[in-house]
Amino acid sequence: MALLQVTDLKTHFFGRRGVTKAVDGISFDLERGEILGIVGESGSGKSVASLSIMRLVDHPGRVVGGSVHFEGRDLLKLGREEMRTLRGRRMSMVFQEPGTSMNPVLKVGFQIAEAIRSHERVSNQEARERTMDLMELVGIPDAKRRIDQYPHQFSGGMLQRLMIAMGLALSPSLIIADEPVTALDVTIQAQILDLLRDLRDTTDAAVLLITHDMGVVAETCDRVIVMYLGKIVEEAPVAELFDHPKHPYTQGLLGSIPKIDEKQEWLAAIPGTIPNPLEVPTGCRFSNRCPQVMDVCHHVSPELQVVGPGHRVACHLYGETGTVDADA
Amino acid sequence: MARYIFKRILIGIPILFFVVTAVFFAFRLIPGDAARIIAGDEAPQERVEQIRRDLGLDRPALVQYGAYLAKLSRGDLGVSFSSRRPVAVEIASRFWNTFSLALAAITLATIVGISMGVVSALFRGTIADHVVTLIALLGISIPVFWLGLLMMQLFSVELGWLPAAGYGTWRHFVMPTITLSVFSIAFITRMTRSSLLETIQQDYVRTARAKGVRERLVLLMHSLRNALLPVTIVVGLRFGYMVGGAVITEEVFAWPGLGRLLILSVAQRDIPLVQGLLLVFATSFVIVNLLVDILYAFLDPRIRHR
Repeated sequence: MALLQVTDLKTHFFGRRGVTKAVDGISFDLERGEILGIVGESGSGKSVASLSIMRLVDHPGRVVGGSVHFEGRDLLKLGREEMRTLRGRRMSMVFQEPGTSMNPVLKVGFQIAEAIRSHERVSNQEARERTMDLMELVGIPDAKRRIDQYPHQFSGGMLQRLMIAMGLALSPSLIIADEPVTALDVTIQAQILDLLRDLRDTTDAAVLLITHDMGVVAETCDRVIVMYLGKIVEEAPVAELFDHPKHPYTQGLLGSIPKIDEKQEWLAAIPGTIPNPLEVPTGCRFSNRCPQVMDVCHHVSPELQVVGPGHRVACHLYGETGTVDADA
Repeated sequence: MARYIFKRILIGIPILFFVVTAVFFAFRLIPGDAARIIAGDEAPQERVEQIRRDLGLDRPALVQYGAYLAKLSRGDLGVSFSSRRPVAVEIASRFWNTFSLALAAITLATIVGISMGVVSALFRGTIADHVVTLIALLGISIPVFWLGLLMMQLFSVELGWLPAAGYGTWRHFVMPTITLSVFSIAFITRMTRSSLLETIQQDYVRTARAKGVRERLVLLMHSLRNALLPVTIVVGLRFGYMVGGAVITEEVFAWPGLGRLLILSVAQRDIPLVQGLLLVFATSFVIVNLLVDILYAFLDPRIRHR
């Protein structure tokens, strides 16, 4: 059985002007030792999906359906305290902005040790030694001195290493990294991604990597899920996705990456912008921006279908499937 | 850190100098003659002139100002026109009365204000939040003297539980403390509420939850500790006002403090006493601010390391 099994997960936001279906029925598996990327534009629901798995969605958002089986248990059915004992111990999260994701008034050593103390009874001495080891593991030089410093005394890259140290403190089997390198310089990005890959290799933890950056996906992931407006539109092993993208949206995403070996006058871009999430198009959600749109796309919401080994796509171009939209 | 404190102290000196100067010249502009008041309405003009000369009020303003500064630099605040006792003695004899009332009021305001603010923020949008918000609104808008008189009517006249005025036992403290703290309670409540609502949305609070920190500690260590940083500044400022601004409360409850002394000395055109009092008020304000700055730097490492 897969380490993480997400089935028909739905997370909706109940705002004043209506319900936003940020995540609208997504299903996927994640195996031990695997790095799975979730890509999509902002507003695609990828971050909300990751927060839903951790059960950290804030009001007015709420997980309204589906299941999240992790190490054999449905997380959505656990009590608050049970869920707390899993967070940071069996599953942990690395966030996008290392600068704001650490408490500015507490020493970094304290914040890392806090991850240990929240789950184990340890002496001060032991917590400190383990924290120091973790800091060395993620490549912080001079950990002995820096353990007593505050977040503002670190660079962005170093802070992200500290965040990862925090996430690793109790050797979780799942690490969710939400845009872990987006806020960092390109050279630092490569270092952090290397670190994540190394940790996967040494600890056999699974990594769920949320990003909007196809370059990061290509460099790091084993498998990719492409999300658009709360739904999965395509899923494939990373090489397959880059070589044979099936969904017009995926093709658009890949086409908008500039290529160094071809002379291009214009960068291909996906026409239009992501629609207002309150006014999702009927039928296929991408139909109003799709260059290959057909009549059926406006009425029938396509379902994921297998088009190759490990390759699934939700698009009518590959055979009509799915259900007629109720409001069409 | 030492440098930071030293810089703060240096900034205080020109502020105090400005206060001394402004008060000195402002007093020349308002009507009223100290010599006439001391001599009495019936006294002959020669007697008034005599007093004026004795007090040195016949000299040009700038000369008086220079003489005052010269004495001040030796720590001499002068002699009260009306009581003929040194201003320093007059002030010292009442300082503790005002200070203890201010201390009681700021303690009450801090405890009640923060508690109400926390309840209001954690139960945002519920009945509890609305009730607290209403109380805070009342606290900000109720005139201090009116509230004081109302309480006096209820607790002293009708129920006879508390003495209506004066100074002495802890019972005397109850009503003046409440009266003096009401505005601050409301202010601190609102400040705590908005500050806490802001911090509980911060990324680092989510990080704390993501690593499995217990909810109680998420609230105390991560949310509240950061939310109270701006509140310490408000508490300090309010305390500064209380030491110098308890005029109305002291007058209503006949509290023998500096506020009442100020009213008395202004009425009598007792210039040295007024100047001495305002200088004390300004100095306490500067000192309180300095202490708040030091405390803030102690609580927030980002300032300490600058």
